[in-house]
Amino acid sequence: MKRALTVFSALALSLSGCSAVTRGGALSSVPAASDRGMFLSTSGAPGRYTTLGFVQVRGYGVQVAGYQEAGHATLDGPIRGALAAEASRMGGNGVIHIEFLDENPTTDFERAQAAAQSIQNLASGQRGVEAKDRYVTVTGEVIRFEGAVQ
Amino acid sequence: MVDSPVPMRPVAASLLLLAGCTASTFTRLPSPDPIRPFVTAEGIPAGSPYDSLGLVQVTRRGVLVFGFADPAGTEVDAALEELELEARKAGADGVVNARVLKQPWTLAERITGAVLFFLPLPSEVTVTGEFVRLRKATAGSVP
Repeated sequence: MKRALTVFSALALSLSGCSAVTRGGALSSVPAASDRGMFLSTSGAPGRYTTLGFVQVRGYGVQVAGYQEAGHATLDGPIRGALAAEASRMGGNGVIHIEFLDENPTTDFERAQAAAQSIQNLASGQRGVEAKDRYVTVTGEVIRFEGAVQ
Repeated sequence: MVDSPVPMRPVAASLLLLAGCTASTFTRLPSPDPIRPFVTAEGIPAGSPYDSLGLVQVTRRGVLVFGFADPAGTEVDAALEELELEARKAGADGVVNARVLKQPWTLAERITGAVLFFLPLPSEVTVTGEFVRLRKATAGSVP
């Protein structure tokens, strides 16, 4: 009976909730709505530009009890925050060829598991809530447009 | 028996060790279909107008049972199917700058997994990209 349960649990684990989808906000459109602000794109630049350098940002955060995110381990935080700030500091007005990776996203099953474990821990009074370190890495090419952003 | 100038046993052992050290993974995309969102590793060609609808990352994680069975769908095509579904939800025409990340198991490792069936092999695939909606000038055409 115990063996059958173990096999069933392993099968259920392998089949259920194996997917994690991470979404981030929209980047710049072409033509850009305004020539002010930072042009951000995973593609190239819509006009002539000079490359100033490359930048990489690693956002760190903590996921508490499977659902509550704290820190900067989201896609929007590092891109609109640290990446854009660094580009601006370098004298750029755009970051192109942006690449990103949520290094350890949490699947629905893992979220539910962490939440259930946290509740169990709190109820038993033995341990605290479950916390998981989260990392997001973003890289890009910092550019300065020659003329207005198209 | 004639003595070989090359010691055969060490050569055979080396070949056995080296065989199956390369692991490859591939997926074939369906033919271009104007109804389905397109997925490309390229960006939008310079000068083509488009709207960015956001970034997306799809990760599928599971285990390979008996070294080969993939009940959780952690192959690239499963992740691309899910990406397509997300693109539809977002109202995107397609996904540009798609990147695939997967650490495949070699044949030797899979066979080991089949023999040691009680130790399932962890498996994961990640696809990232940007949802875009093409402006009317280029709508319907795959960049």
